[in-house]
Amino acid sequence: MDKSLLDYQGQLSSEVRIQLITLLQCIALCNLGPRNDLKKLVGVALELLDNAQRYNVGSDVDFAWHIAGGELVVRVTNRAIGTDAERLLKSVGEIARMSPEEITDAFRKQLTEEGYGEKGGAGLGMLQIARKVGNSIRAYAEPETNGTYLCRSEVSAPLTRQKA
Amino acid sequence: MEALNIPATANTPAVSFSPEQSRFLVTGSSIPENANNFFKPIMEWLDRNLDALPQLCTFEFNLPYFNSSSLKAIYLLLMEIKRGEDAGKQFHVAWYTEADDEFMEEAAETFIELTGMPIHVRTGVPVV
Repeated sequence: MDKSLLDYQGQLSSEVRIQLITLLQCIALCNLGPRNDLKKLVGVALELLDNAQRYNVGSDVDFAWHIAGGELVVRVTNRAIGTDAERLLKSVGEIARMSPEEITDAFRKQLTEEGYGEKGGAGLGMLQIARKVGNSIRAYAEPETNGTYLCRSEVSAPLTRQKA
Repeated sequence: MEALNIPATANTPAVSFSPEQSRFLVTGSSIPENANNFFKPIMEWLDRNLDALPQLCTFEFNLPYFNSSSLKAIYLLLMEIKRGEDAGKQFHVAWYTEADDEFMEEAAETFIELTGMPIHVRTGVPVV
């Protein structure tokens, strides 16, 4: 059955992000039941919220956590400068063309060989999501009149497995 | 031997080293916006004190949640510990997981594979 588990629109400070993650853990446990992959599902939201907070240049972000068609859909929308929007599209586009083995190799390379970006990112978030819940990441960026881009990242994670 | 005592916050773990117990402990969720900023002083402490750490020193990690930025920082911390082992130290590294928790178990597998170090995976929480 489709459900809207959480919709948030507003400022995304560190404190809000932490409170959202705590709330999502509670919501997941109540609505999805005990599962071995519960933290991985919440972890998808954590990575997308991390990115939104790190690169957001607007005031508010939109965050949605829904169940639709047997999948958990996580969607985050924020505003970013052009270079960060381009990097998001490039990263997600590259991952979309990768096999699971190539995703694992790219993840290992990024973890062991690359440094941190100037905004503190490790370049691992989207690769980590693809490894954990499958390669179902979509990203969109629309230019706005003030030179910023409205960026939307969306992940659909299958909800087929249950704790034994 | 310098002591280390960083208290936990809402988004960073407690990190401590007890010279009396020869025990380095990281416990709590690690979801800071910039993990590099948080872990850098810890890496510097380890770098300064690695040679002075006693044989059979234990490193215990209990991180119920962490973001990918922290994953990298923890990997770098483990590689620093490995540097000590490669120089002749005998350390014991333990990674705690909750029961049936794929998130923490897979992280342990990743670190074991990428560091090449024996990391002992235990279910439960470390005694504090």
